[in-house]
Amino acid sequence: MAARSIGSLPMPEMPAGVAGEVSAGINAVSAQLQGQTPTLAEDAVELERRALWTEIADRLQAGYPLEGSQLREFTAWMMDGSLLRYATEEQAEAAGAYIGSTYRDRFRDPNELFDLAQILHASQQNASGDTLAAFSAGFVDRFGAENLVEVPRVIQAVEWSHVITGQTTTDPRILQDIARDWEWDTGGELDHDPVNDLLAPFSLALANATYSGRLSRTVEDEIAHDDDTWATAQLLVRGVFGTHFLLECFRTGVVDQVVEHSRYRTMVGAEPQPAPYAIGAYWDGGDGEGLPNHDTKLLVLDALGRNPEAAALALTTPLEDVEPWDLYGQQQEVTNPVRLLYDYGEFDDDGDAFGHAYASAANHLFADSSDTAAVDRGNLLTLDVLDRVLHGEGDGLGGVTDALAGDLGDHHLDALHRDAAAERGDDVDGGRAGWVDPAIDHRIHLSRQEVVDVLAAVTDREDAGRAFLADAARYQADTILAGTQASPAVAGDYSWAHRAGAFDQLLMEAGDVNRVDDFEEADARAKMVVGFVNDVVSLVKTPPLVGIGVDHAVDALGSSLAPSEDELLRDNSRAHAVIENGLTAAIVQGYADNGHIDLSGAEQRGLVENGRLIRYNELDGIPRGRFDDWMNNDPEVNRIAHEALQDAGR
Amino acid sequence: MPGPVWLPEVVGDPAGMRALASSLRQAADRVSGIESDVAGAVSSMTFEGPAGDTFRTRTAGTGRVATSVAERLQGLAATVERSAAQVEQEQAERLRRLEQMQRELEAARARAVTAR
Repeated sequence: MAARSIGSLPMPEMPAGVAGEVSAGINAVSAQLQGQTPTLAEDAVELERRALWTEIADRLQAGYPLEGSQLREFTAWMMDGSLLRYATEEQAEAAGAYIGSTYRDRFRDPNELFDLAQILHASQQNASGDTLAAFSAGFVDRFGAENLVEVPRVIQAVEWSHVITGQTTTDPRILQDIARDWEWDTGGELDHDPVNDLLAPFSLALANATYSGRLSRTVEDEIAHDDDTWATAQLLVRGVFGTHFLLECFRTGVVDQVVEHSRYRTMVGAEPQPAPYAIGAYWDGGDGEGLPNHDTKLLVLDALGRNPEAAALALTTPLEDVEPWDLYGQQQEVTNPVRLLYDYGEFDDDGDAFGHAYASAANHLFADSSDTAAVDRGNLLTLDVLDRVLHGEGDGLGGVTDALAGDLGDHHLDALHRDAAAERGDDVDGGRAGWVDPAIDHRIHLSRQEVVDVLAAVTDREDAGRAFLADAARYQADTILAGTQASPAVAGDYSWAHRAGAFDQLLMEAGDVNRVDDFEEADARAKMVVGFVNDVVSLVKTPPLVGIGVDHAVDALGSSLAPSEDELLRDNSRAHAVIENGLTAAIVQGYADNGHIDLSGAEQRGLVENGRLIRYNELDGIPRGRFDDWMNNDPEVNRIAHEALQDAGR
Repeated sequence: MPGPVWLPEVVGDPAGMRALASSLRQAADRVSGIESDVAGAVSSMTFEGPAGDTFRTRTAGTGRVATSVAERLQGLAATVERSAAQVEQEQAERLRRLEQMQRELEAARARAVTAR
């Protein structure tokens, strides 16, 4: 106010110099005062809120009700979040408990539920850390597990009131009385987003309460084991939940659901379905899809994906007393959670949520390479998934294959290269894919055929395949750059080149690039493999090398050094040669970059610029002919390439 | 024949400038008053613990800003008052000189008539 009155003072006529000084001075002090206004206002808010806390803290903690102006201020300032902003942990917990006990008998009235959702939302906006956790735990504990699980049903009834009122449903969990009253009172109008405004605040409160470890196991288990697994799953839509709670939800909301649904696998249409009233699907402002309704397993798996520790435990801890029905109606004991989900589970999302949980688990287990116990568990998890992708009964689980591609690309490229080049490449047990032996090392082991099969499976998924191969290209480029640090020598160790060559060979096999007959019909996978080789070449900053037995093929490609996929696919023999040549080119460029190739021959031919070899694909016509001449006839280049590649091509 | 009597105007409204200076002093007094009210309230308040210390530190900062603003406003008021006095003096001096010049002009005209 002072700033405004100073800024609006009438300015009389004054000498120019004085007028400028006064005007600038007034503007400066106005700005200073305006800068202080929010601080003073916030100071006033803080004092008022703290004053209320001193008045009510004892009453709240003792469980006495608030009355009169205290109740009005408490409610108003909880709804705008300002009261919790200045609360201690103890005060926050007491406030949460008070809110829980206040609304536990009122939340079935939709307007009360809206207010409660607003209070929870405001708390999440204005508090954090231990204060928010204390508030959330106090609220959930006092509100009650059974009531919390009923909240999604109230939201469902309000959102779908128009439909529910006009239909007859036998599902006793649908709150028809609430739907009918809401329809009668409002005509079914809903101004709140059912997911983000109403459900999410409850979900986050539960997440904060469980993740902080402040909620009792009893309450957690009551929620996780509630008969209404649909409602429990809806409550997992937002936030990071506690590990114990999530594992219980995994058991009831995923494992038990898979087992129960497996009964009906041979009886099409017989499986009981929950009523099709998905939260968020009917509301005008939504996307029309809402939350998963028939397959609430997805919500639990997504929540697992947000807690990597829980995901890792859920997918690596053996199951007990789990006996799903097979396709012949026989019960089979299953202890491996990945196997249960992959072979017996049916998922509406192409396996994306399952894949998300697996990826989260793998990233958690491989986060610290010095934690060999975790790495060993991660390796087993990878093999569990890999085995199912190669040999499992499930279908429509591309999301899991995508996640496997990510896991292999992020954590197992070294193992895949070593296995591709292994002396003994056969399948040691002939059954389950791969093996691990922590007594020997801490990596997965696959037979060469399994490497081919998994590369085929991964590259069959276009986006995930490309991402995996991009990782593999970076791995190979790094390996080549490291390997070419040392000067090439007859007795040198070229095992790195051998591993890269062996991996590329299996990759070509997986991509069907070796199958001449099929090449004219080469699909996206073959193109992807060709792209991989070009990636390696470009990452090592080298053009493919001519004169190592495939020069005719490269020449035939005309001016394209990093040839287009279409160009390569036009002729298999050329493509095959260029793919093999890519590794050669990368290795020679690595030696050139590391100064182990004498470039004088190239310099005499005008092929060196600023001390570096001109890229082959930047040349054409006569200069390119000179480049070919150098590459074909320079004995030093041929010797180096030969020494490195005799191992690579072994 | 000499030309008409003229001197450039002296820009400024001394009365208006004194009114502005007065307003600036009043504003400075108000800001000082707010600052001392807040300081007094905070010093007599019972607010223990780290949050109380943080609060007091913050309000002390606000007080320093208010003091600085009040001093600046007083300074501006003094500048405007000094300038008003100077303008008033220059305007009076101009009037005096104009009158003198008018007298000299009239004397010159009288001498010219006598000589004819």
